[in-house]
Amino acid sequence: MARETSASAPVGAGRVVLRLVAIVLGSYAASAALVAAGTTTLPLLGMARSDAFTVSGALGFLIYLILALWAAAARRLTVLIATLLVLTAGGAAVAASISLMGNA
Amino acid sequence: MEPTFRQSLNWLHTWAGVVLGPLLFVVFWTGTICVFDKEIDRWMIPQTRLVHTGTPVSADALLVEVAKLPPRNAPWAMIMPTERDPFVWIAYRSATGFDRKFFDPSGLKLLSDSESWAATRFFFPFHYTLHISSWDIGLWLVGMTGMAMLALCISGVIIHRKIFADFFTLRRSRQPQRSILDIHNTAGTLGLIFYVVMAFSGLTIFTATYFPSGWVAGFKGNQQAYFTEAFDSYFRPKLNKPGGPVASLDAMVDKARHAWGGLRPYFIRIWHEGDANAFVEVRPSIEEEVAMRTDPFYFDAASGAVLHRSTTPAVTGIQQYLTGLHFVQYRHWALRWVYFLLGVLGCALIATGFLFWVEARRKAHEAAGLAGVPFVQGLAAGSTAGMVVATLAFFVANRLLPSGATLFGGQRYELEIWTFFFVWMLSFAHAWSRPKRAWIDLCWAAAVLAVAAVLLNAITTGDHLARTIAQGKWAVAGMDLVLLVGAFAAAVTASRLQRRKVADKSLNPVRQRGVTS
Repeated sequence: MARETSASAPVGAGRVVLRLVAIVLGSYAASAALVAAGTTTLPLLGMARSDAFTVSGALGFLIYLILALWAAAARRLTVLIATLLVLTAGGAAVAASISLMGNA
Repeated sequence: MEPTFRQSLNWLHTWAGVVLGPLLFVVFWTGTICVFDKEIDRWMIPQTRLVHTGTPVSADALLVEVAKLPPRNAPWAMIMPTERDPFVWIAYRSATGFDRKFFDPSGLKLLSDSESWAATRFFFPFHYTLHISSWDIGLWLVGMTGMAMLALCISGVIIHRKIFADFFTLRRSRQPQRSILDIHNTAGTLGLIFYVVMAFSGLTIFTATYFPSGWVAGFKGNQQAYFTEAFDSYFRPKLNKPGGPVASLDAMVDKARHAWGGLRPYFIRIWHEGDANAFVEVRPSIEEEVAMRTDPFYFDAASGAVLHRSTTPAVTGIQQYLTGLHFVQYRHWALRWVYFLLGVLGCALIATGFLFWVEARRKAHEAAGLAGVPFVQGLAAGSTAGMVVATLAFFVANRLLPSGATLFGGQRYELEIWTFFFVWMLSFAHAWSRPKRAWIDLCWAAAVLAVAAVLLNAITTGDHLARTIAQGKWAVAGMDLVLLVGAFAAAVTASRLQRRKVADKSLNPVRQRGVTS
């Protein structure tokens, strides 16, 4: 808090709401998908299933933190939203395909 | 969000801080209190103020005493005495949820039931559930607060340019905004690692709650399967056939102690008592090392044969180390005080962050006629100082309410809790209705209540400081001493604020007029 003035600049309310959704929900969705991907992928590399989730879960909080900070700072909202969507969909797709293969 | 990275993070820091400030303080304050939860329990549940002798208690003898009580729903557990919990107790599920009975370790005489939730049942669940159990809403709110704390710590460091210079800077300025920011920055840098470690380790305790995606994908949606594998735990279902009597628990305890290299057994749980598939779970003491290991032994209840010995995987061990860092159940009094002091510093960090927000905007909001400053000002006073006053009122109510008291259908322990929430709401009302007086009055209230708590403790239990120190009842003596130190600090703060208010009035009448509008 080096500056003593208010940090808020005039921005559209819609963009602020989108930004907040990206920080709180978007970053969470992406990190949760990556946790699922990690939990299903690491056992393929020889790690125990429970260890895979313990490690992925702990890393998940750090991924969430980094994504949320970046979501607050990213210049272009479209790039931000696209990245979060790709991470979420990609993580979910990896997790779903591996766990479905495991069932087959 | 803003033109530069640093400005964006400043925006995040400002708004996450002010919106989640009340929750942050609640979690930090209750967490700080819970560093000494068992000591507060001794103070609030006087029948448990025993002196720990260290003599081992026979589990078999306790089983005989327990059999004299009305039957319980299985499973139930025996918890052995420790220095901080100098009694032996049993815990079980009852019609009202969770229940417990205390025994004096010498002679195994049943002590009277607790009529207070004290710290371990009120402040401890408050810390991570806010006592909102529906749909785990409280747990999720606290999780969000933990993530916010991490984001606030990181963004705080990034936006704070002169971190090393300011580490040694504390200006005693007449201008509140300047000194508030100095305190905020110093408290932030001094405790930074502690706050980050506490927030992160707190989150990892509930990984399975916060990231269900992991066990949904990896364990086919079976959360229990994850826990069973991660903690190498054992379970067998009831056979619904009557079984033989429980074999010697002491023999099982001995076997476990030898296998653990002398580590003292602490927790003995009997599953399906009376059933043919009954089994006994024995867990080691969690006081000896930082990691909160469970590593239970499982025995067949009737024969005493070992069914399973848990060995937790190394990765779980790391997770248990983080959990242990957070729970601070290991025996280390110096570190326990460090936790407490850093917790208090964290509370100061959150409160000054709030105040800085208010001071930085006061003039602009007054000029623009915005309601933000008066609202946040009241919110800050109510959620920080008000929380402290409510906590002290909880202690005073504990010493004032007679045994067996009931009111409007509430039992004694509920009356204490109602007092807490009533006083808390009252301090919000006061802070919003009389903003100029809020901090001064709340500080005076805290000072008076803290001294009253110490006096009432001496009057109602006879355990005044001279006696508790002489008898070595350090939990009670420590609580009294912390209350007195707190009362002194609150009184000094109140009188300084009062003096500054008078000075402000004579020096700067314009500004003072503005505050009232």
